Amino acid sequence: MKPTTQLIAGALFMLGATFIQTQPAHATVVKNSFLKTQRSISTYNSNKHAKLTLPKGTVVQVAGTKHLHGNKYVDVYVDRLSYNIRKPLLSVKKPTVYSHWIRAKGYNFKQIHKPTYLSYYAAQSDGKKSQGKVRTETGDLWKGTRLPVDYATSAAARLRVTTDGYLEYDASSPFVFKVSPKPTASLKVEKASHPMASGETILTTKSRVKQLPFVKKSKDHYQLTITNAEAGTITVVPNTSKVKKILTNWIFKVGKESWYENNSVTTFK
Amino acid sequence: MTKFRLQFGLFALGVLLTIGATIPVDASTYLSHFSKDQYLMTKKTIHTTNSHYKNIKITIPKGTVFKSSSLTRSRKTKHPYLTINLNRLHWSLRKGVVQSYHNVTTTSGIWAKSSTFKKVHAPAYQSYFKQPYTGTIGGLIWQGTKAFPLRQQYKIENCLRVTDDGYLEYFTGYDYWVKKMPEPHSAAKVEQLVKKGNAYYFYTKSKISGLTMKHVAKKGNHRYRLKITKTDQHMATVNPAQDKKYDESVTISIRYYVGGKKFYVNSQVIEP
Repeated sequence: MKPTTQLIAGALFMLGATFIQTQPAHATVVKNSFLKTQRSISTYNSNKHAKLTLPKGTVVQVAGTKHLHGNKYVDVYVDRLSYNIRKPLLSVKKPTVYSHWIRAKGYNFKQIHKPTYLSYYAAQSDGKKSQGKVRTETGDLWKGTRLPVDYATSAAARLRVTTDGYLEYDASSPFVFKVSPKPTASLKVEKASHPMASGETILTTKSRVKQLPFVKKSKDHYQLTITNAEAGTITVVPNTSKVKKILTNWIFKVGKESWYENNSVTTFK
Repeated sequence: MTKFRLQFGLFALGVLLTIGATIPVDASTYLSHFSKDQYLMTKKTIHTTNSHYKNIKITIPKGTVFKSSSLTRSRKTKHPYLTINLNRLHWSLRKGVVQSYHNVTTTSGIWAKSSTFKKVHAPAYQSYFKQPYTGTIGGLIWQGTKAFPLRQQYKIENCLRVTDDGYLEYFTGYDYWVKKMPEPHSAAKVEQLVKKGNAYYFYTKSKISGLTMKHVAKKGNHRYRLKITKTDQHMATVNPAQDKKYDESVTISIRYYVGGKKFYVNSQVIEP
């Protein structure tokens, strides 16, 4: 073999090797992907202060990925899970809302599409940045039409669906929180539908929350409809002549009531 | 003798090499590799017309700085050409196209020859504003406390700008919606720019009426001085939606002081 041929062959081999290295089994699992646990996973939160258990069949959302010694790991948003799973976070002093790193392997997870019960909001846009505007799509809906300017010190009724499919209602939740406290009510979403082009997400539950406009369909069969209102509002903090932050809110109709999601923040120096 | 021959031979070879090396340079008489906002300077006076209608004669003098269009290649010859947007140049150059009834403000294609144009850095006299995120410089500075809501922009306002070729123009009663830059109320060539921190000092030979300028010298080209100060203060104008309960967008403007008076620049629009 000529030295040049050897060199080319060597370069090709190296190229192939790097290509294989950068293509692990779960290449499509990225930040904001959805995974379903394939077994009960015992883990911690990221600073190991709280012990957590993700039961088999739990739908989790990926917060980030990393590679270590050729293995891929994910951490998941624990705060976006139902109360029973995130409860240990509420009893520690310095909670972190992410799980510890978990191997991204088939025996732990199966990748799934965004669950239908989360289709009312852009669940996979959280954290995206363009022109200084950072998307904050967490699925938390607040009663009203716009975030108050003094949101950092106030509270309002909050509604959300956890990634593992529980509808949580909090009668008075502070706007700024680290870990979502125990909800006033929590209902398992039995079925969800998202008719094409209707902008509606219909959640079916076995019982209802009095404060929310549930529609009774039959015994043990209630429905709550969340509709995209195709409208937004803007919150300027602290005032329009000296702007520090611009927050945008997207409007939803829950039944006939107006609720909103705070969907972006732009910060000025 | 042989030594001399050898030396001569080497010299001849050297000459040949230099010629050989200069030929490819000589062959590439066209400009290429434009940056996103590429500024050029004319190396000779250009005589051209408006694009499409070709019924107005346009003369661009030697030494004019302008922001070029991107390069387009001729389908026939494959050579690159560019156009000049006269809206961005001072009044006496754009007068012809602005006063014509056609809505065209660009020139016909001009061959992007290196004998006609030279690449130059973005001019410092337009550095008073830099668009965040796009990095485009220059633009209009409006008189007033902050941006008008979108639906009220029929209001006529005063503003100023520095053209690509370095003229400070002040407009009074500027109609926000015009496509062609009208005749300025008053204008002067920027003779010198001095930057001190957030303050920009523009020196001109004549006073721009309507603006507060300092008379600093009686002779020479630097007789008047205009101070433009840029601040970090951001203002917000919320633009309500058709259904007044909701908002369509918010316009962010930045506070400026021009000759001590309040001015602003629109910097970005944020939508929910």
